[in-house]
Amino acid sequence: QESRTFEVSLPLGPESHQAVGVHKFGEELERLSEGRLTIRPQYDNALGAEREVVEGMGFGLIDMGITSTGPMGGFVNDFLLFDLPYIFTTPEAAYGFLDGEHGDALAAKLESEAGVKILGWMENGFRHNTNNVRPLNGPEDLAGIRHRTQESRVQVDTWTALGANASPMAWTEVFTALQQGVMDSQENPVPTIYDVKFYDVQRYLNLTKHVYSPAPLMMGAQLFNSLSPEDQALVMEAAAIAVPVQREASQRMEQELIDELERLGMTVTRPDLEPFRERVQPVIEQWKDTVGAELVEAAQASGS
Amino acid sequence: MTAILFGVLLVLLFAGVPVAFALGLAAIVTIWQGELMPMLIVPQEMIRSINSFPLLAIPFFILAGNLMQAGGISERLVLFSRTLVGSMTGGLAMVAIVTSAFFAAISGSGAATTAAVGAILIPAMVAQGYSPAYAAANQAASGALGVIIPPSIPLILFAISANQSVGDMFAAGFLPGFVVVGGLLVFAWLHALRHPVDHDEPSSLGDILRAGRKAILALLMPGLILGGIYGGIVTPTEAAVIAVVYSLIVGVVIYRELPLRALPAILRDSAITSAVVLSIIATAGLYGRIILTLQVPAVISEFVIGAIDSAWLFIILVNVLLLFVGMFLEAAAAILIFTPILLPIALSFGIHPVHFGIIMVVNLAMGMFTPPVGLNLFIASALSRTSIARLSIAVLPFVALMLVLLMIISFVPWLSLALTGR
Amino acid sequence: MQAVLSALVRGVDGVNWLIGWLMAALMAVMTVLISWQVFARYVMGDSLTFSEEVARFSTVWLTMLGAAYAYRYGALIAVELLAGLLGRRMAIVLKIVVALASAAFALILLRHGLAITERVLPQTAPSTRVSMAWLYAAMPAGAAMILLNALAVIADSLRPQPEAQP
Ligand code: NA
Ligand code: NA
Repeated sequence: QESRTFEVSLPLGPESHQAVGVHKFGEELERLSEGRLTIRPQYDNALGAEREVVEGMGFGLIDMGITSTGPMGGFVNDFLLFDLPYIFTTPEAAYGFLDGEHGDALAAKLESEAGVKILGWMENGFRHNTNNVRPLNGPEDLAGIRHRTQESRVQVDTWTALGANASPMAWTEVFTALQQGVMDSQENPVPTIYDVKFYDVQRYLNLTKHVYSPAPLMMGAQLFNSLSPEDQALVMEAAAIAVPVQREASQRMEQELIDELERLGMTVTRPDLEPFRERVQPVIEQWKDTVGAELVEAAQASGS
Repeated sequence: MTAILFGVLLVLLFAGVPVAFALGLAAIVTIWQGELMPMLIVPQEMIRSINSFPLLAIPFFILAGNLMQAGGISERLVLFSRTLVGSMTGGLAMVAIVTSAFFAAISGSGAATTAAVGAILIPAMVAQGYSPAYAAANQAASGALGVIIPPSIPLILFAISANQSVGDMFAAGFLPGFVVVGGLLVFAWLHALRHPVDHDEPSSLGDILRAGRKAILALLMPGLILGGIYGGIVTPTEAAVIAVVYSLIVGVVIYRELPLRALPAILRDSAITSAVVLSIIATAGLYGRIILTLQVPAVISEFVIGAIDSAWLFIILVNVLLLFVGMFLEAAAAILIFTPILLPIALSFGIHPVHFGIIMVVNLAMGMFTPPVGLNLFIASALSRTSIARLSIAVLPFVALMLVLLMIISFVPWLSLALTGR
Repeated sequence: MQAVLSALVRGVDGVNWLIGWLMAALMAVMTVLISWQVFARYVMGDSLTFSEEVARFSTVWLTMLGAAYAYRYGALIAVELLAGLLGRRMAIVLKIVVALASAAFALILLRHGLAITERVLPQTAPSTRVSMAWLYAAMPAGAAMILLNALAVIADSLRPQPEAQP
């Protein structure tokens, strides 16, 4: 039986919620394969930004990776679903959707279009707004605020609909832009907000919960298919064990870190989400056909 | 594998293959020899390395520098500096230093600084009795300020390779830049005491004000660029574009020294100069990826950490290494190749990444005027009609001076970190 | 033979002339886009979403085409120690060897650049939603130009005339 070490790309560092999942996967894989199959994590985007990592796995240049679903909309329109605001209301709704037929169908599409196999749906969790201007009690409080989005048309449309002056900006520039005031506002999951020390440059944490962000654990499809059927099964089993561990850690860290961010001086606001949800309906309508109306409706229905 | 990666590069560089191609070829040979991964990695990594927004600042600063030179901005800076320090002992050498510092706060490149200021001041210095070799050496060293004082292309490159913010790296360059300016000024004064030369007549307050008024638009430019960045109005890349627009307006509309018909050629030449730097970045990115795949940093780091037990010793070692590298290799290439290798080790010694970046950039700025290979050296040699051989001897005192300043900057992290607010 | 070499050099330099102005145009486009981006954010309070991506793609094209142009006129940074130590004839041989190495590099870039462009054809760019092939095609295009210019450099070395002028 062959021995192998898989290089795994992570956007965040060794203490992150992503690393919890990747480490667990590695441990289980090593245990199940009796030491034959191991992993070597590469933290902080050392192998490239998320888009290049997804592309690289498809080309056989990178073994494995965990990324947000952000770059996948470039390969399969259906993945723009996860950029759409207020689609999933609870983590359980998202888990139900992802772990069932819809998640499988999305994974199958990514495999055929990008050559990337999703092993399991880990997560970044819900994304929230932080800014330096005022607490957000409703979308009207976003007026005139310069807000940074990821590179995504859907996200720009969302924040424009909410009333902000929204523009995309490269991730490496965000901290300084917020510190100097080129940008007032950004949005990310709580563990990321804590990990990159946004509490040093942002006063308000607003739990807007506007997007649920999955973080699939992936392997290049070519590489996966080159493994023996037994090893393929081991990889899938290790991922299946690691997914709930990662999700649990992500949810626990979110709760703990909200308190910690408050202790570090951020003003935490829990706005009524209904007005936000209403404001973004036109964005959902606008993108529904591109993403696939059935898929959007199925996702919206997953919580109820 | 690692031996092939470094060996092939050395052979190709020595043979005179352009640095950008040599880095790519060395990576390709290594991938092929070791069957490391599919060759698609070659175009993917090259494109990834240059498809980056912060990098856009490089063509813009190069364009701004060219527009300033063509639009009469550098001449006015020189005239104003002359009224300020021209009458002191060693006055004109000081003018070269002060003007270079001003110019450096607008342009991102050491070569642009040397060319723009040296074209005016080297002949002027020779006319006042400075030896051409000394005038050229002083200018080559002052030109290195271009990349220590922000904005700066090497600072941008380090920020990108090290995942640091460009804004932080710029803030960190200020005080070290002024330490170097101070050192060079003292040096110019001491030199003039030993080798007396003419200096300008003292300027009246009226002269200073008149020259100041003429230069005011040029003098406002550093404030506009750096104020734009630190006042929270623009990102460094956008600031570079503002520098372009500003020099265009000043040169075309206000000074009227820049005819519109000259613009296309300036745009084209700036694009070519940018491509020279950016193409090295593209293949250095690929080369760096192979370094990572072969786990070179981990291996070297294990060795270094086993052999050395203090951060101080490590910093000295890094300085010796980069000094040697800088003798032969262009700063941009050196930063892109050595950051991924050295930074993880520096971090494990508890050295702040921003401080480490400044150490690297100051060191490689020296490389711009250390013989045998140095861009500033070549430009100053051409401007002064001094042979590279003579100039190589004339710069040695400046190399010694910079070594002292480099030690100060290396061992006083405060100089680099005080203004970053981190 | 000399006539063929001359025609080759003239042809390549004609293409270079065009590419020189194309690069000037790319530089102008980048400047306008990013100035507009700042203006839109502050004056119109409504940020641009596509400017950054278009400017980045332009930079990649500028780099690849510019590398070929700069190579032709000896503007690429190189360590030119060895040539200075050799005699005239050996220096010419070395120049041809260097050009052959550059041509080999260009061939590899061309081949794999075409392959990657084909593969990313269905992929869309995040902000403009155009095909990613618009980005990656810069690689084979630049590689083809480097290859042509390497041939022109070799042709130049085989002719009695001195250096080419831009
Ligand atoms: Na500078
Ligand atoms: Na040097």
